[in-house]
Amino acid sequence: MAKAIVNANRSKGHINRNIYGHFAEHLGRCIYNGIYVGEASSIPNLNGMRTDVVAALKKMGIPVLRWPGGCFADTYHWRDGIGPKESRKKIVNTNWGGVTEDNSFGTHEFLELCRQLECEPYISGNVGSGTVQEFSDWVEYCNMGGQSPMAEERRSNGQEGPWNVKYWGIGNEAWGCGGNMRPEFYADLCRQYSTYLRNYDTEHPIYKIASGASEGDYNWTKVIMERAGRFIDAVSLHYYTLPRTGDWTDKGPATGFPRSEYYSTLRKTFYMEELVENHSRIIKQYQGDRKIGLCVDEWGTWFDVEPGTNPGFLYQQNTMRDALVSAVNLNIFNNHCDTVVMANIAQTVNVLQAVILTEGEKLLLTPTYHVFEMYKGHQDARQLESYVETTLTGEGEDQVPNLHISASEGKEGVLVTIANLSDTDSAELDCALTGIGRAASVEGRVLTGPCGAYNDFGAEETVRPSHLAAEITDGGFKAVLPACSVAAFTVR
Amino acid sequence: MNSPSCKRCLLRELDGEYFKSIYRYIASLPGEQRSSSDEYARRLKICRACGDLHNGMCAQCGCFAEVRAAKRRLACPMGRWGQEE
Repeated sequence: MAKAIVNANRSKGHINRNIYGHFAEHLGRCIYNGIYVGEASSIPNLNGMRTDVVAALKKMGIPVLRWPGGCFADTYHWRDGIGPKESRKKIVNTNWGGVTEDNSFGTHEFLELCRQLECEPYISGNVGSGTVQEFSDWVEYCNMGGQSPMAEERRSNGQEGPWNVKYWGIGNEAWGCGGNMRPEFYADLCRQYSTYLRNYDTEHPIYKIASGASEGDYNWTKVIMERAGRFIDAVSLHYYTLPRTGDWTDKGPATGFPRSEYYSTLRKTFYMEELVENHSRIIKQYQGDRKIGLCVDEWGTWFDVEPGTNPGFLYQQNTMRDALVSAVNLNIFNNHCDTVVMANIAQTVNVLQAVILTEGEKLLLTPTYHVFEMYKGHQDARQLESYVETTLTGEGEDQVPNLHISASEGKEGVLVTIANLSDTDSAELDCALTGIGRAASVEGRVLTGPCGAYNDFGAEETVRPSHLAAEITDGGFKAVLPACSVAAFTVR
Repeated sequence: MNSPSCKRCLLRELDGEYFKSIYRYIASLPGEQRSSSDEYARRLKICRACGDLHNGMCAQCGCFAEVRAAKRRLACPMGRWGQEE
């Protein structure tokens, strides 16, 4: 019997809903033929956006969407994507797959997508190959409500009022595809760009996110915070979970993987906790009397592409292993909500750890989708301290805690989310709830299956949530967590 | 990828070196999973006439057309050819 404690008397604060954010890059079939099919498509759409994709993302509770990249952002010139579609530039997407980018999905289309999704837009600006003027104009084009050249141009392209885009990324991976910069150089650029990214409405101030570190590059975060900290609101962090040694040419398959790679993947994903804690410490050390957030604006699994698909498109399947990875990471972000203000899993549709896969007019929801849907009650809820007794499970050097937990108190009651990482052993759970009185009801849901189980076209419902029996006790509730499962308990 | 941009081309007409591994993959498929040669040719003829084929890849599923056509149980994502019985 594993004892868990959820303590409503202690909290790190509210869980920013944006922790449940997503990322959509002009890459492979994420935007084109994934989210956006165009108005003339035979696939049902509203203003070019697939209605089935939009409906599924809304049901999942998508709070924020990052766009247009990624590496693509630092080659993207926003003016190429406005105005009449027939006269927009056609370019080759050199970052991903070498396919032609016709710019039919641009600023207006992205903000129309966010309107349909009822989510916040997060735009990554071009610092690597753009100019300060270009970026400054983009903010003015989107946010200026009064009279100005940019506002007039926006109106002439059909959008009368400002969109008031809040979240702006100052470049992406400036240490790599965003310009191969040293942190000192980027920090100065960040100060310069930040100076000209203006607020056009005091009621809608913009929120500036600096290009942050890759994985454990703590010096990057230190230099950015030290030199540019007072010019930004948050700094980002990117970390991808690879099953094998970190060799990007041999990452391992998304399906049909050996048991050892199930556990190596989980062990590597736990590194996120160390990264978040260490980068958070640096941020706190240098933030002074301002609160600077940490945006984990790229995270998730990265496997070899599905055999026979374009290697530049990063199309991978998604199994119960991915569900466990997402549950562990979301628990980590919840439990560090005092600094983690946003996270964006990569990427929304058809790319890397996607929540939705499409093939023509068909669509399926991945195990990762179901975890996000089961966890959505954490959004904007008050985080609660939680602890669960664990043992180690795994193979060889790849040992991980068998259970992982987070909890919060929101409108629907107390939400306790627990992952059972063991692929062989169920776990009896005895969860004590302190500081909230005796529970009147508890409702359990679970996502479970063999660690390699996945949904495929023609078998879309292989992995889906089901009811999980839970029993109210004097001090909380009891339940049995199946092997390889993610469970969510709502206590009222 | 430095191959020329070509709508309605198959891989074998583009960059043979770059895509050799794809043909090795097709050759490695077990016989019972592979389409018959007549069906393979029929499928690719339909792909060749399709606006979704670009640089040998189907824009609707991300698959190289030759690979998808070679797998007996797969169908065109837009329903232009079906599974082989």
